[in-house]
Amino acid sequence: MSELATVEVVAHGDGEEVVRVRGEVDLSNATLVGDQLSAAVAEATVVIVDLSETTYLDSAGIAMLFRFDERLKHARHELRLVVPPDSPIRGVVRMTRLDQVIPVQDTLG
Amino acid sequence: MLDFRRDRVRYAVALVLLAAAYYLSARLGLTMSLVEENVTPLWPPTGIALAAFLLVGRSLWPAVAVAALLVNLPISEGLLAAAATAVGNTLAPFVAAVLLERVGFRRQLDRREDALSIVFIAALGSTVISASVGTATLVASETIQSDEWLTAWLVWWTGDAMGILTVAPFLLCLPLFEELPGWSAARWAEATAVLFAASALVIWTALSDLQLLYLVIPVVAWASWRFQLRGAAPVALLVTFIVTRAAVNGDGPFSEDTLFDQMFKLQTFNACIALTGFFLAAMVTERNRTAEALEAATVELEDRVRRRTAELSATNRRLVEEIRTRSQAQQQLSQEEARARREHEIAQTLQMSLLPDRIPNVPAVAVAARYVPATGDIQVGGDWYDVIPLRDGLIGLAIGDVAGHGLQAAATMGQLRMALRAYAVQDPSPASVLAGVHRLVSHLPMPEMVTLTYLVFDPETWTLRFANAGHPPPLVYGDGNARYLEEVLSPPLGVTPDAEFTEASIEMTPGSTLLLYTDGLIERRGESIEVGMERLVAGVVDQDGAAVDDVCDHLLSALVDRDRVSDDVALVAMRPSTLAGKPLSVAFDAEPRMLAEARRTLRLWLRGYDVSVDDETDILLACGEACANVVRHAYGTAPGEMVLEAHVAGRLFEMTVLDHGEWRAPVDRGGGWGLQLIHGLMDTVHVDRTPDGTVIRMSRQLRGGES
Repeated sequence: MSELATVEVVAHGDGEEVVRVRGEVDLSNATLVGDQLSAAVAEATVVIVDLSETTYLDSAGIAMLFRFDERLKHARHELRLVVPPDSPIRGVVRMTRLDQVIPVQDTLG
Repeated sequence: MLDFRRDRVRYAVALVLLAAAYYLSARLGLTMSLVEENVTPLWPPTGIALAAFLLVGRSLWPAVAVAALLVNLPISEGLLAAAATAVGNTLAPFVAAVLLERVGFRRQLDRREDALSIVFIAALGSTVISASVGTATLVASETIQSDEWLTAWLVWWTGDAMGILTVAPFLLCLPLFEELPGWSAARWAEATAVLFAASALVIWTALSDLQLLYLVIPVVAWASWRFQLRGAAPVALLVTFIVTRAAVNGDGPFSEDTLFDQMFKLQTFNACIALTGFFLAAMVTERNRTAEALEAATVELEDRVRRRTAELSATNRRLVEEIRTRSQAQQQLSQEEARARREHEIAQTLQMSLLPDRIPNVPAVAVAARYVPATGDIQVGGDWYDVIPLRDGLIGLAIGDVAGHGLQAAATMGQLRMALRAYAVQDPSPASVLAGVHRLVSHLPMPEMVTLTYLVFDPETWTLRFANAGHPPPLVYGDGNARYLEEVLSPPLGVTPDAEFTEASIEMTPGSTLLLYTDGLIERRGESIEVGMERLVAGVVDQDGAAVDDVCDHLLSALVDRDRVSDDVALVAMRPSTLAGKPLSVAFDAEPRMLAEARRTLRLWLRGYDVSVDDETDILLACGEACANVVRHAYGTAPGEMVLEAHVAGRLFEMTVLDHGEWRAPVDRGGGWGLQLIHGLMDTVHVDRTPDGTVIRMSRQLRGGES
């Protein structure tokens, strides 16, 4: 229900900010997650959104990530995503060609 | 009468005065003697003595005795004769006075019986004594010849009688001038005229040779008629005195007669005058009194009529006032009733609107609920139940009762229900939910006692966790068993400041049903609650296979008299079922928050089959996109339903998502990728848009792999 997904800043420094999205992102909470991401990364020049623990991401979530990336690019900031190869959302990221717009790395490291 | 024992001086004076009056009147009487010197036709002293006895008292008798002795001494043959005569003279008025008192004589002489009494008892009766004693003395002392005794007796007797008949009434009438209302000058003049007329007429007739003595009777009648005793007595005295003088002198009508004839004529005349006068006076007095009484009665009657009329109109006013008051009271009462009825309706409406308007669709769990408001006055309100879909597929179930009834209870219930939902979403643990609601209840402006059972069911594990704050225990039944969940029981909420809530859990088994209820279902007046609980167990014994809706209806009809519900009844039945092994068909509200539910249900169902992680991930994404499509496009802002159906045949997975809404032009929020993704995820995709709604049919060959 609520708390379908949580957004938390896990690390920041040197203009780089790591935000972890845990849980499921769908039509019901995509806008909320997007707002939380924006709020969490206001000062960072490089934003890494860790989706390793995101178990579900639908088209609304994908759209939200595209818009988030556009906003960051507009501010000359950079967005990178972390999606492990065995993640359930790897398929949708590939299918929507999200990985061709936003750099996707397998791990945080 | 005077009390002479107290006032000896006045007694002595009275004695002297009476004796003097007696003596002087006797001397006057003797001047008219006809037989020797001591028998006269008019003997005033007897009348004076009687009047004195009647007016002042018989204790004055010594005066009479002494005076009589003094009168008789010089005219009797010795002291003995004088004494004997005196005794007779004293006895006659004394006996008369005694007898008159005996018969209730009124000295006012205002009744006919008074006139009769004084004529017959006093004048004619008692004087027999004095006449007999006196005549006997005369004969014994040889003052008269023995053959003269009858004449002497008659003269004596009539003399005494006339003395009483004329003098006594005159004396008796004198006090009346004081006692009765006084006369006006005109009446005094008239009275004087009557007296003069009588005097003139009687003097003329008494001196005339013409036998016209009785001509005076009309004048006597006039006096009686106009002045009653106060007129009749003086006139009678005057007339008799004058006529007696004439008779003694042998004047006019008496000139030619013998002594006997004179006496007869005189006494007949005197008797006539006295009788006429006094009878007429008495009758007129009586008539006047009757007239006065009549007038008084008329006045009294008028007064009574007036009083009665006033009473009646007062009563009438009171009655009108009372009717008005009563109709006001009646109006007030019906206003009260209307207000009570309105409050009942409001409370009922509020209560109904605060309860869940429908039970949410929960896959694999059948839930039914009923609420029956109390029918009587304002006993409605306070009971509530709730079914809350929680995250991770958990289902929260609550049933509670706020003490009291009416608007207040219904309003409190509404608050508590919302609060409980909030607490349940925050932390589904039953003990924690109860603790939260308890804190809220304790901080209400008017803390109410609240009983509440809260349970959480996990469809994945079939675990039922529950906590109970003073509420009748839930019932679980199935397979011929029934048991109340009495493991944990905490005090009702809001009664103790520090309350600790514990929880317990059981595993539900396939086919078993959970029953939640409020006390209205089991309580009956004058019956212990255990009896009601046994009745409930008996009620569910054959309800294993029945749908939960039918179970609720069956229990309500078996345990509640729907026409006379004394207390609210709330009832919830829940029966979980296994998804595995049969085609899936579940409905969800077409709302964003239900998308995760739909995916979870499908995931749970897929576990019953050999489905790889990749297959599952793609199928769930396709399902999610199809459902999101419905949420976004089917109903606009109106509520609606989305139905998810799935089945597996061999390695072919088929899934349908349908709605009953209209397809709306896609608003580009998801980049329009929804359908595109579905096409990418599934082997076949068909979208049918019909007037009844949209159906998306999808299929995919299960590829196996890592599962």
